[in-house]
Amino acid sequence: MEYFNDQMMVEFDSVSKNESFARIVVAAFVTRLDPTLEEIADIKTAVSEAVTNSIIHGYENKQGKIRIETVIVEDTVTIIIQDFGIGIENIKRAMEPMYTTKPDLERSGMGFAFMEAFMDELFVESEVGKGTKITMRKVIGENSKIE
Amino acid sequence: MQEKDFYEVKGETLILHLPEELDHHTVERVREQTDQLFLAKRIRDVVFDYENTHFMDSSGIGLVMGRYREVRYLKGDIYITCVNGKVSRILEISGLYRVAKTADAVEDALDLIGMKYEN
Repeated sequence: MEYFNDQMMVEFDSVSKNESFARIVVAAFVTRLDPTLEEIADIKTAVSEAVTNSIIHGYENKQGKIRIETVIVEDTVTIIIQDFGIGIENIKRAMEPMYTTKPDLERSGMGFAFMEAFMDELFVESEVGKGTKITMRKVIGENSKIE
Repeated sequence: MQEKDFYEVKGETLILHLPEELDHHTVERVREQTDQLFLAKRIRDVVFDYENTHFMDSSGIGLVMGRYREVRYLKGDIYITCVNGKVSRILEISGLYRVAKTADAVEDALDLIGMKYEN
């Protein structure tokens, strides 16, 4: 079977002002699937959470690069957000709602919970000292098809 | 549209008119300013005005939770006002509605606060 494949990649510095850039660029790329405003809001939130995690936890507010790859295959968007920072020691624990290693920074511990809530699939791969790779997937137009 | 001050202090109530996008980047700025006000003045209640806010992620939840912990020392409350649909979903999932009070508009929250201290 032949798939029409659509892909984009961006890489940027791990500074907080790039959080809005990251979610806007992914949202703009996904518009070709004609998503609803709610689907766009979901994707923006999920991207924002992953990028913020890379900045605060992956790089601990130090210099680094964050890479986002977005692939569209038919009606499904896959977003891969990768950093090359300190990695996560205990992924299961990190994903627990309300768990945070940075309560002093008033982190709510809801980042992964939001990614899970707003996307259809979420995979987390991480190696201590090497970095973290988040893969999220969402089918666009799922609700309109059911109607 | 009328220009609003970002922060207002009325009596012992702090009103935060939040920015359009509430993420880690903008939350840091809001928190810095808020911390200064908490040091400078006696704040008992905090009203969050979401009228202009169209985007919020978990950083925004941390901001509210942090202020909630601060006002609880003085038995104060947190009020969430003027929430639109997108922000409301985030607030619902976070469970913040269990600890914060809600009002349709800032003025309504101020009325509620006024009534609280009348008795």
